[in-house]
Amino acid sequence: MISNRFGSYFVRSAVAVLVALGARSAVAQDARLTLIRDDATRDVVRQVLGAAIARGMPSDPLMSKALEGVAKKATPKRIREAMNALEGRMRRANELLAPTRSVDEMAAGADALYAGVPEKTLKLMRAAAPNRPIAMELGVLTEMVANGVPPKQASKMLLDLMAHGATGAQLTALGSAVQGDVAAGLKPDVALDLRGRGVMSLLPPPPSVNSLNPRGRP
Amino acid sequence: MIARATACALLVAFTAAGAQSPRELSLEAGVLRARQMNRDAHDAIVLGVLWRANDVHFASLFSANASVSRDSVAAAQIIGALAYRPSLQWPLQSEIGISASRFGVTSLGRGGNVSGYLRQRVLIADGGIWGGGAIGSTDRDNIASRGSAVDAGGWYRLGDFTATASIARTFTDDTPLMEAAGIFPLLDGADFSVDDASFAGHYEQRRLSLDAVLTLRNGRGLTLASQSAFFASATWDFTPRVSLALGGGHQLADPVRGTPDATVAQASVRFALRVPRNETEAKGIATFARLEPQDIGSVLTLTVAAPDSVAVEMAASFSDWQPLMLRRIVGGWELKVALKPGRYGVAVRFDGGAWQAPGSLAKIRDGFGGESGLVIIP
Repeated sequence: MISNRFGSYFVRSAVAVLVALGARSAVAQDARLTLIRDDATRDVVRQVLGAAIARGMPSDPLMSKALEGVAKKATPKRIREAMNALEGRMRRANELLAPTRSVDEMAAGADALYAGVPEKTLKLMRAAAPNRPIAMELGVLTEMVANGVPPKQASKMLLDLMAHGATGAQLTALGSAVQGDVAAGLKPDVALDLRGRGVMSLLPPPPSVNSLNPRGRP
Repeated sequence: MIARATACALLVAFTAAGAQSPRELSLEAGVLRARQMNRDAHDAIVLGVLWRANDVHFASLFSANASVSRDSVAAAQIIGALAYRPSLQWPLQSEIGISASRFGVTSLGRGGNVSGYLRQRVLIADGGIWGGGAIGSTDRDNIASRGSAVDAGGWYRLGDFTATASIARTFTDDTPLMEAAGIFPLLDGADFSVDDASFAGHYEQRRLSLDAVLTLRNGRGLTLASQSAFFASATWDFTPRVSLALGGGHQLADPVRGTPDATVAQASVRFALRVPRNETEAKGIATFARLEPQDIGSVLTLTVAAPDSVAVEMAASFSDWQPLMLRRIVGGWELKVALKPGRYGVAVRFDGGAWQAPGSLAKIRDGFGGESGLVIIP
């Protein structure tokens, strides 16, 4: 018994050490660290990245955030806070978007949450598209909310469009059109309503509508 | 005076189209003293409204002015003008403008004028050249007259200073206007023809802008004329909304627009109903983003329209936030980059200032107290 316990403890410890060493190695191998000239900042970034990788988080979005902070002359403390906050949002997005695990989705979900998209929306979007990536849809949603469209309205429109089978190109075109309208002075909610209806008119009804009429003929 | 002021506004609006504040709406109220040759001076109150809007293709301007005086020296004028340029990379810019006025100048009779002009500009890195023409019809005490002009010129910008030189040849049968200005024909009834050479300077820095124009006029053929005129004006911005404009000098008769020769002094207060939303807009900087879909991803073109004196830098997540080289184009800067599908953050900065989201992109918080622009590539 004692031997088994000891063995289990040993294995877990060994795995933890290997993961930590692997994380450190992965961080050390990221050539982008050399773009950070300041020693103190580089140490902070290395440390935060290492810890995140050890927790199973992707390093790419975090490294990009760190480099953005360096470019914007943020202090090491601020960069640490921003990276930690992003990791927290990615973790939450990952939970909401489960079971799919994709770095792009995780990062897009994190951005959406930061922009003010309700957590429930992420769950609904995953439910609407359980078997395909939705990073693009999340990006468009973030773009709309950033342009001033109320998060609930943007979420509803996007979910409706997804239910009708809107393509990624149609959604990004919608986001761009709304942005153009807002820049031209139209109210964001009105712009989305008008443009969204335009896209909707091009789409077939969702399959669920036909299923309500089982005797209906095509 | 009104025509002169409007001409200056047009010059400023269109020589830097795309590098001015995208939208502007302002009111103007002031006093004016004008004295025509061999006449008493008249005081008038001047009221005006100016609207101007620019984007990457069009620059448009609308102005309406009225001067009111108790002794019936009064004029009202509206002007509309439009400049078009297919893209910021395109070196040609076409302009068209029309104006209509009514006036009741006691010495020259009551009437009105309608005029229009066409102008083609060729934009070169720090300046450009133009050629164009204008025609006008004036009705004064029910007697019609016509004026026409062809002109050509060029401008060059050096830092905060812009120098302009132009020549113009004007033809008219507006005898009352020209004789009131001291210009006479050798033969009675002959049409008038004069050549003008103008040299103008514009200086602008922070709150102050200065303008000055010297015009030399000589008669041609049967027209006897040898005149010069100098007009200068200054504008001081007390706040982003309120500015004071002072001006004075001599203006030569303009037979195309029917305005008389006069010595003018003016002071006015301008109130901007719409002020720039941020420093970028105040500097006259505008950014434009365009996506050209490819088989995979898109080519992103980011164009920054900015005055020549402004240094522009750009960084983005697709460059690991390292500064990107922008290509200098007429009137601004440009970046073209092929991107794979995904989401990207972009930021620009001007004159080494803080990084900020380009105006034409959705703005997302960056976690550092600022914002970045968001680009979605399908």
